[in-house]
Amino acid sequence: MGPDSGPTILAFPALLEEANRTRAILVGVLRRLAEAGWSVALPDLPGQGESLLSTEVVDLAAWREAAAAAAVSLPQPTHVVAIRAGALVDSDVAAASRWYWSPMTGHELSRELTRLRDLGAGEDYAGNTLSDALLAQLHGAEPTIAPPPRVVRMESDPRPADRKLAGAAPWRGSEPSTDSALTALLADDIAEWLVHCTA
Amino acid sequence: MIPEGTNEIEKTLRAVLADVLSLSPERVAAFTPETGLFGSLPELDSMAVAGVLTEVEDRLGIVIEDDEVDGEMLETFGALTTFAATKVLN
Repeated sequence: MGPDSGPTILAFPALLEEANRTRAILVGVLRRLAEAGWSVALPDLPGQGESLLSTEVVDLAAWREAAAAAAVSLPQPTHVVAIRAGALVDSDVAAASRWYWSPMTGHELSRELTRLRDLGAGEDYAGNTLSDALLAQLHGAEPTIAPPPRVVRMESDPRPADRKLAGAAPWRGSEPSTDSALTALLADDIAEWLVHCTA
Repeated sequence: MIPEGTNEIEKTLRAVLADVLSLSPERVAAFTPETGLFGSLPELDSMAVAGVLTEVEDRLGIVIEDDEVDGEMLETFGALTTFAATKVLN
């Protein structure tokens, strides 16, 4: 979406089930940014979104490689926008800036996935088959801190952030969220941040 | 027996349940210690339970081990409160 020259906003959604719950908001945010004149890109990582690959054959290394490949194919410079564990896949993207909404470590994600598996039948992760390689790789994975990202979190989250947002975390609800007020807030925050970064 | 100082903890738990299960503030405000959770609320499937446990951990600063999770601590609002309060205060 948006014009064909850089800078490009490269967005990485939340992973697995959280992606479904936050997709409408993410697309809404990117649409607003595009309408404001920004170039935006939302790649489908292998096994996620529209990708035809099964989730059990992908791992974090593959996601990071795909993210980096997407970045170099787009007009530079690249500015990353990532949600939740999406903040783990841009490690190899040479980004001019990074904006993270509720970033989490790979350890936290792997803990949640393991908990999910144990609470369910023990066979898969709420309908997703995930490889052991993915779980192992998640263990030491952390969001990228260079350049220092802007971090936005929900106010129920006690972890440090540059800004806290009121309301329930959309990835925790049982239904996909379409909160338009939150969408507008997020888009405005990103736009302000990018203006600051590209000044 | 519910330990002292549980008001804040209870408030946090009500907020977690409201957020994760998409319940109204009025509905969770009406929860009593006897209110049934797991097994009673249809919204509490395995994904929701995982979400509740993680949010409780994050907001209260506790770690819930896998072997501590059983039907009992999730059976009623009172059981969850007692479990969380015991963790926080010990």
